[in-house]
Amino acid sequence: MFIVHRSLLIVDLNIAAYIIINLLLFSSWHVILFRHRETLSFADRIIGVFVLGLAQIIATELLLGVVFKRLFAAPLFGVNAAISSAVLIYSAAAFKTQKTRASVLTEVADNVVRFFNILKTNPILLSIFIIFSISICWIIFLGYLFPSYTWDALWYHLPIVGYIMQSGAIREIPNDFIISQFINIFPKNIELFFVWNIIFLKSEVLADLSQLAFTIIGLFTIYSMSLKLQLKEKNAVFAALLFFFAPIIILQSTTNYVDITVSVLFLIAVNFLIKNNPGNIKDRAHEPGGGIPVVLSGLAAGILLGSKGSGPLFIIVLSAAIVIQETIKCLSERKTPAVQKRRGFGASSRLLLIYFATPVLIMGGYWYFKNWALYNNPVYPMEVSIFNITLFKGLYKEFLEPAPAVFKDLSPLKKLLYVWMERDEYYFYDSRRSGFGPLWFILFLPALIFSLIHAAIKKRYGFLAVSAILVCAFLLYPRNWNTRYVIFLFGLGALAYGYILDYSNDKGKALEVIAVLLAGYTALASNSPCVTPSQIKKFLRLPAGERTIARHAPFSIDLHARQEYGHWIWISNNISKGDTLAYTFEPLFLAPLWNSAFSNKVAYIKSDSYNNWLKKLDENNAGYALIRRNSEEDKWIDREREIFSSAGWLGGLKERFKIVYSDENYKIARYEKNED
Amino acid sequence: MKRMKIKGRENTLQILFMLIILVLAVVYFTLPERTLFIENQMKWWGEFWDVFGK
Repeated sequence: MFIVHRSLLIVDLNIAAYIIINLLLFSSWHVILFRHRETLSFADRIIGVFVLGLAQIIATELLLGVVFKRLFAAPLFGVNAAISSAVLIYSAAAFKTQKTRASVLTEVADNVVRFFNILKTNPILLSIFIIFSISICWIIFLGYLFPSYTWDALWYHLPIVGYIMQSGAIREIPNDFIISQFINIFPKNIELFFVWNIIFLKSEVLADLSQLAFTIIGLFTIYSMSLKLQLKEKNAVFAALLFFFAPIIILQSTTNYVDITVSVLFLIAVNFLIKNNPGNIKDRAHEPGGGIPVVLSGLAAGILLGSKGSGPLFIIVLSAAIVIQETIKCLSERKTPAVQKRRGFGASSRLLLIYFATPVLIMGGYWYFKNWALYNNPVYPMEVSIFNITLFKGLYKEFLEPAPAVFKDLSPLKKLLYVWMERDEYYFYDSRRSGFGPLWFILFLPALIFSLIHAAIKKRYGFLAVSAILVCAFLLYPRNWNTRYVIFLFGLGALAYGYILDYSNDKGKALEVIAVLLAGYTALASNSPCVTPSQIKKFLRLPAGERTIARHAPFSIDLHARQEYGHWIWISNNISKGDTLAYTFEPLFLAPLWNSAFSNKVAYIKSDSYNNWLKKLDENNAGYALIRRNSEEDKWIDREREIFSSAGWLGGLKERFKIVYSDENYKIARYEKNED
Repeated sequence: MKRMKIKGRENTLQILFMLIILVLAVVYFTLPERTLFIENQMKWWGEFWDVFGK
């Protein structure tokens, strides 16, 4: 009884620690940004709080993991609590009156009331919001109920988390397998966010909902961009809510992938570069306090740079946009009086270098400098060549994964149309040949074309500039037919839809009705074949500790992983905190070798001779060995056990291996170090 | 007169836009693969009803 109470208390403490540190972290940035309410709208401050909080999480984990090699729950809690408390005290002290302090809280309530007043005036908008709210609840329910089941999550996203958590350090692992090489070279900012969502809770139960936070912030971003592009508030809410209704966004919101994250961070970076009346993007840097949005843009872009290998492409596009705007501004300033001319290209470039480029390098540069130092190529293992001149040597020149066979003879445009028309028989989280849903093909695509023509005729340069940035990134992205890589284009579609609603004025009712019908269809049709109603029922009946990947047996991995389920279940039930599991072969997935709290250690231990193997097991303090049946290690253990059974009666001999799990393909042996 | 002309042009554009949407909706929902897709989704919801509804 006492033990049950104690474990419940520990679980409660873990949850309390997670809630307290998140509240402290995000509220401190909220209070500090409140002081800049003249520069930043409420929506921008919500997005800004998220960006600053995320930046703090990543920066502190990098500090503890790379420099101190002490990335564990207690130091991470301590460092963040100290930083956030200091930020909170500093910003709260700056408020001169009690009234100002109270308005920090009342502002949130006022905005919620205002939002619901907008919904009340439009039943169609209210319907979309209800569908959105139900979908969000469903996503949270599924994310909570099921473990992370997606291919890449099990293959490298979660193993990265496992390696960091078992050593408390962010460092290279031995290149034992091909996947180890990728685990080493991938930028890991978002995996650090996954670590954050596991390390305090001591459970991965919420980790697969990490991307949902980005989805919701993506809605705020589209709303904020719409307002800056001078759309009506009602239409901005329409555009924002519809951004959610892409099947790829709905399905990926419960996965440990990074695609929503990358696109939303890109949209955030663009959003913070837009001025309220965006003829020129960079002008903000010259306003009093105007550097803050540019810094926030740089932070978002930096986090993006450190999230995926394609990050540099987005930075190139953003930098080019800034430089072009600078040039235009500089040329137009030639006609202005000499006093203003003094700012000139050089001064504003310096401002942008400090405000934009510095946070980009701080938040995302580490991974590329590390790869450069270790592999002589910042984007290793990809080779970088321009005009047949190799800048950085690598192992691969193009994607390893082959394109779908049906694309073989299709032109780039036909590939896009093929995917946008969605010829697949179901939606899938990695969306190879579908993923944008009917909203894109039926509503957003024509809206985008119409709005671009209209904006060009009416000289609405803000909308054109934002479209140019997003379309450029889309055109430059390799494999842009894969919808998960270019979710930001769906965001542009949502903006274009808001633009068309604005243009249609009171005649837009038909468009609103079509939107709600398609949103409802998308919500109903975005069911993953990996999560069936029978599996939901089965998991609802299972105790929380037994809701593991092996019991889930998702369609995406089942065919390949069936023979692994037995030992995965044994590991999740029996390997506890501090245990080291030694494995002796290349596993299908590394992630299931850790328990759900990632509190054990795993090590690949292989050797040519038995004695050497034992020595390595001892050195790694291995408690268990996972071996393949009929492998060399299996024979060694059998031989030793035979010797023990025939000569054990002599006494003094201690059995080193005890088989604790065995199936047709695998065995797990408990290993006891022989002190003699 | 000029305002009426602009209004008329706007109306024509809106009708054209709605027509395009209609055509795209027909194209999207009448693809042969859509039948299989909708069948799969119906199956999913049928199973949902069997498991939770009855």
